[in-house]
Amino acid sequence: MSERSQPKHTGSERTCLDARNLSFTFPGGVQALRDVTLRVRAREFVSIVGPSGCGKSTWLRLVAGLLPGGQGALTVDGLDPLSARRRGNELAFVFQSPTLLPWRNVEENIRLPLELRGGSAARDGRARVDELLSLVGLEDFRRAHSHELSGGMQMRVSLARALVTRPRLLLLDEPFAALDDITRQRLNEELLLLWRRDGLTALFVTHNVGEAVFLGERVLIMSRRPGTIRHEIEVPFDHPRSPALRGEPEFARLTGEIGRLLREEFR
Amino acid sequence: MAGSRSGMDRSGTGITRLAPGVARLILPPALLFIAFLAAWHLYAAGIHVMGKEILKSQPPYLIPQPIAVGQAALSNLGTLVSATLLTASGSLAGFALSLVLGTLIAFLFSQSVLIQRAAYPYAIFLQTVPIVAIAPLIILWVGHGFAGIAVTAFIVSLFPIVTNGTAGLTSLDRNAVELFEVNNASRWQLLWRLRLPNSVPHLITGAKTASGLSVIGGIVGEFFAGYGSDRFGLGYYIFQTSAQLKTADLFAAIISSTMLGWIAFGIVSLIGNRITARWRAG
Amino acid sequence: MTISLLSRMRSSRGGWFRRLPAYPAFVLAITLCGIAGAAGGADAPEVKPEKVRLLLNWFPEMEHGGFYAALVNGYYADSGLDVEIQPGGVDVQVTPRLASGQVEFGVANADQVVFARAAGANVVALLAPLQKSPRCIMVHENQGINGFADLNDMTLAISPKDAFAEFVRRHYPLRNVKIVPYPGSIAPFMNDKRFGQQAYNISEPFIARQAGGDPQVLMLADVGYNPYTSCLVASDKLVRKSPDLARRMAEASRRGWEAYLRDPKKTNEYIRSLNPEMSAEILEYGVNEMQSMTWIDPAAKQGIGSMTLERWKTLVDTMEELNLIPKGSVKPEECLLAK
Repeated sequence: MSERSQPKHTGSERTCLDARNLSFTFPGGVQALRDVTLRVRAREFVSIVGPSGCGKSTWLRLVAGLLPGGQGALTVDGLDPLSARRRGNELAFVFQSPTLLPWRNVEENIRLPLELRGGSAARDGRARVDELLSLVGLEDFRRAHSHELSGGMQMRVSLARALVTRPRLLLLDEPFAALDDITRQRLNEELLLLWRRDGLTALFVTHNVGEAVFLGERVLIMSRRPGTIRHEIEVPFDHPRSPALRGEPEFARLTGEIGRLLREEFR
Repeated sequence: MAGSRSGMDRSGTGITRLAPGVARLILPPALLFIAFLAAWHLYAAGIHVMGKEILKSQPPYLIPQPIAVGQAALSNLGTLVSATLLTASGSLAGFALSLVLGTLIAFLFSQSVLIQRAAYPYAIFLQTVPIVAIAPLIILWVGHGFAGIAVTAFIVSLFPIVTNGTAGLTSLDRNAVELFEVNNASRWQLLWRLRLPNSVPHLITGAKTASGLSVIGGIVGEFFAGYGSDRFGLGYYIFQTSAQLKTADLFAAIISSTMLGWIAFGIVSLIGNRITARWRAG
Repeated sequence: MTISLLSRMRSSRGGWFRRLPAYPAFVLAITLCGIAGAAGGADAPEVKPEKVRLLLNWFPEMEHGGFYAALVNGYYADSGLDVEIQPGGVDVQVTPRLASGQVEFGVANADQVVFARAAGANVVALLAPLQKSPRCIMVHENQGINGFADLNDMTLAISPKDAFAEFVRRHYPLRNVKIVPYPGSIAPFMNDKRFGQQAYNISEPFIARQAGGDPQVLMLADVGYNPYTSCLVASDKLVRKSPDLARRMAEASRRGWEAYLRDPKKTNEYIRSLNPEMSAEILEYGVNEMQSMTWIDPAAKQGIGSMTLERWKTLVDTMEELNLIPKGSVKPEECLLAK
């Protein structure tokens, strides 16, 4: 089931990310990606699933300009990823672990990207920090330190930090994998809110098929290593999506279908 | 979950309700100390029951009784205090030197693997070489007195700062480094905002070890680098009382040096804990 | 030159010839008695020699020469003693080990005996080979230092271990003097004209001169600090329980000293085999210097190593004055074994 119907995304026609026959081999000789071709529109939300070691994380890091090299073409907003990133904080990354700096409190952690920008960015961004604090519901914890927060709260801080510079492209590497089911669902819903509000493009890597379907407008299924995009499934549900969607039969059917396709990659 | 720091201990009675921290901190070692004192006394004085000797007593010049040591401490209190202060000043200078230089060296090591590989064996050498062997060099270089003692304390206490500091500066969460990279951080920003704060707990651990070592270094330094005419430190005093068989005085001096080590460790721990209080778990 | 040479070395000059006429007669008498004794007991069972240990207070050097001579020449064996001479070293404390019975005999200076008794380690001196203390302060010539009172504006290397350090401190102004620990070599002395260090007049000056220096010595014995040196010491307990053993050990050691001062060659070779850092010249120099420190009154009349109560009283009084021992803690008469 890989034909493309009219995508029901809310974004523009502008291309944010363009990959053509992208392959990548690590210096040690392990080939992580093979012939990845993909076009992501601005403001799209794309979910990526695949077996372990299929190169999902490598893919994200290439897009972030964190890994040099690779054959084929890869551009972000028309530039190579590193230049795009350097141009003006186009990019934000949310890691699998919250990666909060323990010597900073919540507010200071969120503020970090602004500080790294230099100049008066941190000062000018105070309002933005406050805004995000309230968006993720942590105003009362702005002076707390990471060890005082639950896993879910820490991840919210990580999200807020990623969004403080108003990035155009948000990369998320299995951010909610370590959380319990309910917290994960709630964070999914909050993420969608933030996504729509800021109008950003999102690439979301996950192991969880239900999550991938709930969040994404498209779900990409990657093969085993060396990874390539095996299937592309449109998710026909309109945004904004309500939590009740998870209980609907169509949702279950789609999740089941994608699960079956994914299962084939595990053999 | 937030803000749930441990409050007052609501269990326990009476005094433990008032000062839970103090009781928990002081009682166990105090009880152990009392038990140790009792055992020491019995061993030194021997056990005689109705004229029969169950445990032989020890000669006072080998194992003095705790009471004798206490008396010696009291009658030499002035000497002990001034000697301890003198040793403390030399050790402190050495400790401060190793903190500053050690952190600098750790920084150098963290910046270049080449430098680290080249210089590390020498750091290890400093750690393992007996002071006896390098003492003449120290004296030749900085002379006797305060400088010699401070340098000895420095050499003895440098290593933990360098190793822990290097570990702290280089053992970074990979994701944290990527976070900085994604935000286009400069090398300087990476150092100032990530590496250095990250290394503080490590440096504090190193400093705790170094504090005790610097006291040892100060005392050993006094054996070789000595002191001026009228003032002397614990090392000198230990050497003298040992050679003149004044064993009770010797034990009192050893206890003083132990306490000095405790105090040094305690102060560093206190300061260290205050610095990292915010980001320590619980 | 190394640590071992830095401690004490004795040397005296001339005069062992005086002893010669009396000596052979003495030996003959003893031998006759021995033969008589042996002949007297018809079926005398073979007596195994008594095993004893003698702990030295430093590495084997010429101040221990007489004891080694007694060993090498068989005098101990003649007295029925199987003596094991244990070398001392940097951290070896003789008197406590004597008092606690770990060794039977030891070598110690008189002030160490007094310190020990004051601390309850009851040991007693049996023999005092060196009647004049070789302890001195070695300084450079041409520095205007003519006596202890001139020890000003300089560095002095004195170990806090011995009583003489306190003696010097108390009796002389030592203006602007930096007191530093006893060094492990004469290098600091050679490098600094205003440097003085404790020494034994029988060794360090010789080494310094050999190295091209200009040493001058200030003898402690000349200013009133003169403890017996390298005494044969035993615990009170041993002397009480085995007085005959103590006597035999002392006598054989005395014979050894007489022989050593007369002809040290064989013994010195043996000492060199134990302590290769000692050159033949040093040992020879040391023995020469020791002559004038051993054959003086009352030894001249009563035999090497004899002691007077007077000398011990002076020492105890001096150490009490210097607050090194509590008043009345040591009775001088208990420090020596009167013959």
